[in-house]
Amino acid sequence: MNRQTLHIAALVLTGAFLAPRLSAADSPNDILVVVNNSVPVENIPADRVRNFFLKKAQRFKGGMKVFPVNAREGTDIRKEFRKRLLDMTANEETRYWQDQKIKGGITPPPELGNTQKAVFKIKGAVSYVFRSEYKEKTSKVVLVLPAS
Amino acid sequence: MKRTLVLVLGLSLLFWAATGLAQDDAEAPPPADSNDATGVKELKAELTAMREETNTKIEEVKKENEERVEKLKQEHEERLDDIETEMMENLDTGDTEDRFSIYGFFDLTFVKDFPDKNSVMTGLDPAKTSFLMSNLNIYFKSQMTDTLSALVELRFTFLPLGHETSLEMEGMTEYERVDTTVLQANPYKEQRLGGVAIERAHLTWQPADFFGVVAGYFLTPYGIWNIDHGTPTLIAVREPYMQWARIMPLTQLGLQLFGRAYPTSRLYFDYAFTVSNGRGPMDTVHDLDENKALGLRLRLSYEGKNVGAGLGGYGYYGKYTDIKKVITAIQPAFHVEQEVTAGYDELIGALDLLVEIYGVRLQGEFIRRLIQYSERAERSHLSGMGGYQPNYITIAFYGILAWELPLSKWLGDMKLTPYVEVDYNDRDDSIPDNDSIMILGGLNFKPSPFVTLKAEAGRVNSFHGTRANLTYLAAQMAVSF
Repeated sequence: MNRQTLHIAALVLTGAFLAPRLSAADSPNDILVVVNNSVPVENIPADRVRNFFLKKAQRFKGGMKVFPVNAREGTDIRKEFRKRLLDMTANEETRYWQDQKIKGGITPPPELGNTQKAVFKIKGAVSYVFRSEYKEKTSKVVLVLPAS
Repeated sequence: MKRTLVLVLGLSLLFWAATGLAQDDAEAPPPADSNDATGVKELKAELTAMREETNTKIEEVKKENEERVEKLKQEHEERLDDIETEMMENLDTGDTEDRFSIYGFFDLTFVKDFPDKNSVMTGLDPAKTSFLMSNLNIYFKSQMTDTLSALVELRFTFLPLGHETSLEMEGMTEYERVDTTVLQANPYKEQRLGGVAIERAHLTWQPADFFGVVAGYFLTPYGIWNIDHGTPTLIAVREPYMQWARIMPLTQLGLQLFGRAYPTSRLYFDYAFTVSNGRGPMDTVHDLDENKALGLRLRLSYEGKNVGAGLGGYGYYGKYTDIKKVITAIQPAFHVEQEVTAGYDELIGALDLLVEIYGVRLQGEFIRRLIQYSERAERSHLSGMGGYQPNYITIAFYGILAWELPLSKWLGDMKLTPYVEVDYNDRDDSIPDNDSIMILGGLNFKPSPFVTLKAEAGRVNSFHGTRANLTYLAAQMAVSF
C-alpha cells in the first residue's frame, strides 16, 4: 500500500470519527441565545438567561438593561426554548406571568416575529434562534441550548 | 298416402311458421327493454363522468385556494415583518415592554358559617349561605422608560353597602346599617352605589438590580401572603388572622428603597427599607404625628429546578396617634387646640419561611407585635373588660402544607393541590384566655392559567370558652385577566 493510499485512508477514517461528533455539537436544531452586539458579555450561564426571561434579573453584568424578546407564541422555536431553558409548558408560563402581574405588576417580555432583527437593532436585546437560521455577525451568541 | 304426406308436411310447415311468428311476437318486448337499459347505462356513465369532472374541478379550486391562502399568509408575515422593522426603528432601550397595560382579577366566593350555639359569632355572623364578591381589582401599569414605571391598583367594592355602624342596645342605641341605594330622577331608576379602595399607587425607579426606589402607596414588603396578595395567587380561601387583623400595616404611604443581589444565579438576597406615615386613623390622608414609621426587610431565597427555599424577616417600628380638635377660644381670636386622644408605639417583628420540594410546599409566617401606650384609649367594649387599654403583645402564626399532585399524565397542565392550614393567634395578652386557633383543609384546582377554583372547610376554636367558635364551608372561583 503506497503513501498516497495511506493518506487517503487516514483522512477517511478521521472524517468518519469526527463527523458524528461535529454533527452532535453543531446540530441545526441547537438553540442559540443571542444578544445585541453592544452587550459587554461573552458568555451567560443558562440560569442567568432564564432569570432574564422570567424578569427575576433585569441587568447584565456591567449594568446594561436587559431587553428580553420572545418569539411568537406557537412557533417551534418558542416551544423548544420554553422546554429547554424555562422548563415550563405554555400554560405554566402563562400562569407564572398572571401571578407576577398580580404580585408586583411585572408583565411578560414582548413577542416578535423576527427576533434576530430585534436583537440586531435593539441595545440590550436578548433572544434566541435555531442554529440553522442564525445569521452571523448580526448578534453575539452567549449560550447554546443543544438539541435533545 | 301421398296426399296425407303432403297434408302432414303442409301442416308441419304451417305449424313451424306459426311458432316462428309467435316467437317473433314474444321477442318484440325485448327490443324495448334493451333501449331503456342502454339509456340508463348511458345516463349513469354520463353522471359518473360529470361527477369525476366536478371532483376534479373541486380539487383544482381547493388547490388554488390553498395556494392563495399560503400566499396571503406569506404576504401577511412579510407585512408583519415590515411593521415590526418599522417599530424597531423607533425602539430604544426605553421601550422594554408594553408601554401601558390594564389587567386585573376578581373572585366569587360561596360561604356558609356554622357558629356554635353559645358563640359570640352566633348573632354577629349572618351565618346564611351566601355568594360574595369581595375583590374586583384592576391594575394600571405604565413602563415609561427602562428604569421608570408606575403601578396603580384599584379595588372596586360593593361596600359600604351593608356595613353595620351600630347594634341595638335597649334604651341606648339603635341598629344601623348602611344603605347606599340612591334614586336617579330621570329616567327613574334605583342604583346602589359601591366604593373604590386604592390598594396601591406608586412610582418605581430601578436603575440597577441591587437598587430601586418606590414612592407612593405600596404593599408592605413583608411575609409571603401579603406579597402574593391576590386571590388567584393565594392557596387558601380564608386569610390568616394576621392578615385580616392587620397586625402589620399591610400598606404604607411613603418611600421604599429595595434591591436584589445574586450571590449565585439561583440564590437571591432581597432587601427593602421603608419610611412612611405608618399607622394612623387617617394615615393615607395625613400623618397626625411627626414620627415616621421605619421598616427593614431581608430575605434569602434559593430557586432550584424542583427545590426552593426562602427565609425572610421584616421589622417595623411606628407610632400611632389620634387627635381631636377643640375650639378653646372665639374672642378675641379664634383658637383651636389639638388634643391627643390615643397614642402608642408599636414594634413588630415578622418571619416567613417557604420550602418547596418536588411540588410539596410548606409555607409559614410568625408575627409578634408590642404595643406601648403613651396615651391610652379606652378598651374596646368587645373585650368585655372596660377600663383603659394596657400595653400588650399580639402573637400570631400560620402554617400551610400543600402538595401539587403529580397528575400531569391525567390532568395535563391542570394543577390540583390539596392543602391543610393551622392558624393561631393571641390577639391581646393583657386579656386572659383570648387566644384561638383555626384549622382548615381544602383543594386548590387550576384548570387554566386564568382560573383558580378552591373548596375549603375549617374550624375556629377559642382555647378557653366558646368565644368565636364556628365551622365554615367555602368555595371560591378566582379569575385573573
